[in-house]
This record gives sequence, C-alpha cells and structure tokens, in this order.
Amino acid sequence: MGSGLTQRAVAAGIVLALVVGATFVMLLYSMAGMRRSQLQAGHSTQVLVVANRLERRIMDMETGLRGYAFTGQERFLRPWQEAVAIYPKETGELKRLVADNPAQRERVHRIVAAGASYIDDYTKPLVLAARRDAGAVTVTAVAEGERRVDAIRADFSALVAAEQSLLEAQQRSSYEAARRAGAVGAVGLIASIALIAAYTAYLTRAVVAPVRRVAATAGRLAGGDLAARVPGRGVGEIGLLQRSFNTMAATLARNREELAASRSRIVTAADQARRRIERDLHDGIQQRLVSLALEVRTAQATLTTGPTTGLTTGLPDDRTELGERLNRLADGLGEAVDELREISRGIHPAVLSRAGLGPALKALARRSPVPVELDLNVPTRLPEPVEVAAYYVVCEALANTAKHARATVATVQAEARNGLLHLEVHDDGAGGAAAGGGSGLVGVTDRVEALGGRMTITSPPAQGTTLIVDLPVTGR
Amino acid sequence: MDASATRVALADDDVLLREGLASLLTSSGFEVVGQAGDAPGLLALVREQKPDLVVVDIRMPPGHATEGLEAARVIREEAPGTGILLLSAHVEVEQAMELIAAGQRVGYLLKSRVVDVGDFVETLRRIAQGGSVVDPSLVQELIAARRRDDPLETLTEREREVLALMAEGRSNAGIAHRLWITEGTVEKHVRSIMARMRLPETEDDHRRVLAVLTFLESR
Repeated sequence: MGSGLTQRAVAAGIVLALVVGATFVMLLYSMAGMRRSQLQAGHSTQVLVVANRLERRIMDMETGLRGYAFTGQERFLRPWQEAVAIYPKETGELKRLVADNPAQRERVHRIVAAGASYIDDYTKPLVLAARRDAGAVTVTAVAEGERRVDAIRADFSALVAAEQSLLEAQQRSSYEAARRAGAVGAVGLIASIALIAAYTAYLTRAVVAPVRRVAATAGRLAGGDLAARVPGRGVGEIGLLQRSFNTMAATLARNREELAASRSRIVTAADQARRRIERDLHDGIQQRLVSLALEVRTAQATLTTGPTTGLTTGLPDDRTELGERLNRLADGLGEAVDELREISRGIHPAVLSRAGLGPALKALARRSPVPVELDLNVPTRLPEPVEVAAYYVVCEALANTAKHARATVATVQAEARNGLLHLEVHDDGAGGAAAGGGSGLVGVTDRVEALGGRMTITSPPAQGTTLIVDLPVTGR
Repeated sequence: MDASATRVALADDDVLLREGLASLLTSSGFEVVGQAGDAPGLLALVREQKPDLVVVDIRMPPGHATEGLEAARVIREEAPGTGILLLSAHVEVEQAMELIAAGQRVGYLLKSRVVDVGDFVETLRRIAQGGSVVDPSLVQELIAARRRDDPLETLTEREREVLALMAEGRSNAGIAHRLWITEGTVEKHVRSIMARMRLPETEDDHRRVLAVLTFLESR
C-alpha cells in the first residue's frame, strides 16, 4: 500500500499553514517597519520644531540687544532676559532629542556651546557696559554680536538640513516597507489560492472521481452485471477500496458460476437418474409383468384345452372358475403394465432421448387439452441437457395454460439459430401468470439458469401469457 | 384351429417372455421356427428359416435403443414378403409412421397387447394375410389431439370410430364386424369421411392406413 490519503491530507494542510503563516509574519514585519519609520519621522519633526524655536529665540535676543544698545530702553532687554532664563531648558530638550544620533549631537553641542559663549562672553558684558554708560556700546561690538549670531544660524541651517534629509530617508523607507508589505500580501494570497485550488483538484482526482466510479460500478453490479470491475489503480485508501471492490465482484461472479455449475450438475444427475428409472421400468418390471401375464395365459389355455395328460382331478365347474380367475389375473397384469407405462412416461419421455426435441414436442402438443399450434425449426439434435430443459419448459408452460389460462389456443415456437435455442410459448388466455408461487415454472427456471439461459414471462391480465426462453446450445 | 401353419420367428432379449410367447403361439396354431435374443441372431434366423412372420421387440441388446426397427428395415430389404410385427414398450408416432411407410404386411403394437391372446393372434393373422396394423392407443392419441379448426369436429361419433378403425388397419369387413354394422354401411361412412377429409379413395388397405395416419398426424 502506498502512502495513505490521511498523510497526504495532513501534508497538504501543513504546507498551506506554512504559506499562510509566512505571509502573515512578513506582513507583520513590514507593518512594524512602517511604524518604526513613522515614529522616527515624528521625532525628526520635533527636532526641527525645537531647533527652529531656539534659533528664533537667539535671533530675537540679538535684535533686542541691538535695540537696547542704541536706545538704552530697558523694554528691549525683555527677550534677552527671557532667553537667558529659558536657554538651559530649551537646549536641554534639543540635546535629549538628538541624543541617539552622534552627528546631530555634535552639531547641537557646537550650537549650544556657541550660544552659551554668546550669552555669557558677549551679551552679559555688553549689557553691563551699556548700563554703566549708554554710549559705551560701539559699532564694532554690535557687529561682533551679529557675526556670532550668523555663525550660530549657519550651524542651525546645517542641523535642519541634516534632520530634513534624515526625515526624507525615513519617509522613503516607510514607503518601501508599505510597498513590500503589499507585495508580500498579494503573493501570499495568490500562493494560498493556488495551493487550495491544487489541493481541491487533487482531492477530486484522487478521491471524488474514483469513489464516483466505484459507486457507478456498484450500481452495475447490483443490476446483475457481475463482470463489472473498477478501472485504474487509486491512491492509498481509495486503491484499497477499488481492489476490495474488484475482489468482491470477482468472488460474486465465481460464486454465481459455481452455483450455476452445481445446479447444472444437480439437474443433470436428476435427469440421468430419471432416465435410468424409466429404462428399468420398461426393460425390467414391465417386461417381467408381461412375461408373467403370458404365463398366466398359457396356464389358462392349458386348463381350457382339456385333459391332454389325463387330468382327472377336480370337476368341470372348478376348472371354469379357475380359468375365470386366471383370466382376471392376466387382465389385471395387463392393466398394471398400462399404468406403469403412463408413470414411466411422466418420469422421462423416452421419445425425447430417442428422437429428439421435435417429435417430443409434437407428442406433448397432441396430449395437451388446449389446442397447440407448433412452429418448429430445429433441424438437428441438440445437447441432451438443452433438449431436456426445452422439453420441460414447454411441458410446464402447456400444463399451466391448461390449468389456469382458460385459453382457446396455444402456440409453441422453437428455433435453433446462432448458437441459441429460442423458445416461445404463447396462449390467448386470462394472463396474470408469474414464475413464482405454486407454478411449476420455478423448477423450470432452475433448469434454464443452470444452462446459462434466460427466461422471461409477460402476462398482462386479459392479454394472454407469453413465455420466452433462450438457451445457449454451444458451450455446455 | 385353422390349419394355416404360419411360420413365425421371435426376437426378444427376455427369455421368459420369448418362451411364453412361443408356447402361446404354438398352442394357437402357429409354427414357431426359431427364437433370437438380439438383432443379429434374428437376421441369421430369418435368412436360414425364411419365416412368414417375425415378431420383434424394438429395444434389444446391445444398445437397448431401436435395434428391432433397424432389423425390420433389413428384413424388409432382404425378404420383402416377410410380415413384421414390432413390439414396443411405449408407442411413438414417428416410429409407427416410419414402419408403415416401409410397406405393407407390418404391424406396430404395444408389447402388453400380447396378453390379450385372442386379439394378438388375430393381429398376427391380419399381418400374415397382407394387412397393416397400428396400435389402437397410438391412433387414440392422434385422434384425441386437439386442434384449432379441427376437421374432425365435422365428423359424427360413428364416423370418428370408423376413421380410428381405418387407422388401426382394419378392412371394411373388419370394421363392420367390430361395430356390428353391415359392410355396406361401413363403405358409405368411409366414402363420406374420405371425401370430407379430402383423402384419396383407395381399395388398398395399407395405403389407406398410411393416408389416414398422415392426415391425422399433420392436421
């Protein structure tokens, strides 16, 4: 036996699960990548926002300082004061944001250092000097401030540009991940569908179609066609089913053949026994009865022809009475012989074995109480079992017609052609006959089937009865 | 007893029956010239003794089939004047027709008829005188056979009796004797029957038997 269907089904299920699982894993992985990219993009945006705010604060501080230097009004110092107060917190935030990127951290460091130096080394001395003397702030000192701020802004530009390019790269990679996820999903879906379709096709070919064939063949078998077999060699349990089915059909066919052969033997043995009994009756008992009757007649003759050897005993009256008794005895023996002849005809029709089917059927027709029209076309002698079966078929059919059909005429047709003996017995009687029940046709059915023949009865009410029998002449 | 010493040969495989028949025939005025137990013995006997009449059982050794009928055919060829009476355990129309068709001076009887000594001796005499004899039971079977549109239906009861006796091989005189009527009446019946059944009229009793049997068998 090959690998079982169960193993194949389990294997197919595992492959399908692997394909679907792999697809999901890859989809989840791609989605995680997308999420990571989005998180990083948000982080970059935050960096840009904070950097921008810090840059603006430095620019506001420089603008305010310049106004204070030229006017000496304290209100221009407010941005500077705010910036100095908040500067450590905001730079701290920026530092924290870029802590994981060494290049950006370097840039931020420089900016923070430059900013701190600007505030501590430039702005604070400048404010002190201006408070002491409003005219002490020189153009040179202002220009120094502008230069410092420009340098810081240049650093900011570099930081922003780097962060933007980082953002773009992240967006690209996020897009890539989304595209890859889509492709993986599509491929996984197509592979799953293809796998399911292939498995369904395989199941149909390996299971459904063979089972359907077995069912159809079982139908033929049930219909009596015992030669029906399942074609092909199936897989696993299906193959086992097909082989078992074929074995079963072969066993059935063999049993039927054996049954037919055994029936045939039984019928043949019975026929031979009947023939033997008929011969024994004719050649033995009948012969003996006739001889005995003849002896009685001889004795009777001796008695009545007179005393040739000096018969002196007894009176003439006694002799007459004795002669009378001998006469009755001889007559009785004669009647016994007649009865015996009738009995032996019923046991086996001697004319059948001697002269064949034609003369035997003619004799049957002559003895039928219903007029019989014969149409015989059997030019040669047939095998004895066929002749005997055909004889009993016609015999039983005519007996049934006489007993039940209330027919006015019966026709008997017998024709030997193409290796078949075709018999048809038809009457114009009441119909409604069947092979079952008490009719003698049951025994005839056995005979016909024992020879591998077929018998059909059509007997619709009020339309007469037709019995058709086909017996194979060759073969057995 | 007539002084007709008709010379008879007997053939039957049963010695008791043969002996019984011989003694019966002897006491009835026949001369039994010999007995045989099988067909070859009978043929040898006939060639040697040239009997007037042979009484033969159809079934004899070795085959117990139709050896008697075969022997009768040979005797018919070798000595056509010999009368032949075939005895059979049962009657078969085909056998009877075959024998009657072979020529006159023949008879076909059930074996049990020998028990009716008077009738049997009369039958032998009729054959010896050139008549043909068919067993009444066989004729009865032929006449009793039912046919559709049976021409026999048109006959009266008496005419049917006459027809049956014709088939048994009786002459007009024999029929008259049997039915207790005059020979003239029998002749009238016979002419009427033959005309209505479309049978050829013939003076020859044997041909009449053959024609009537053929008609009865094939009607």
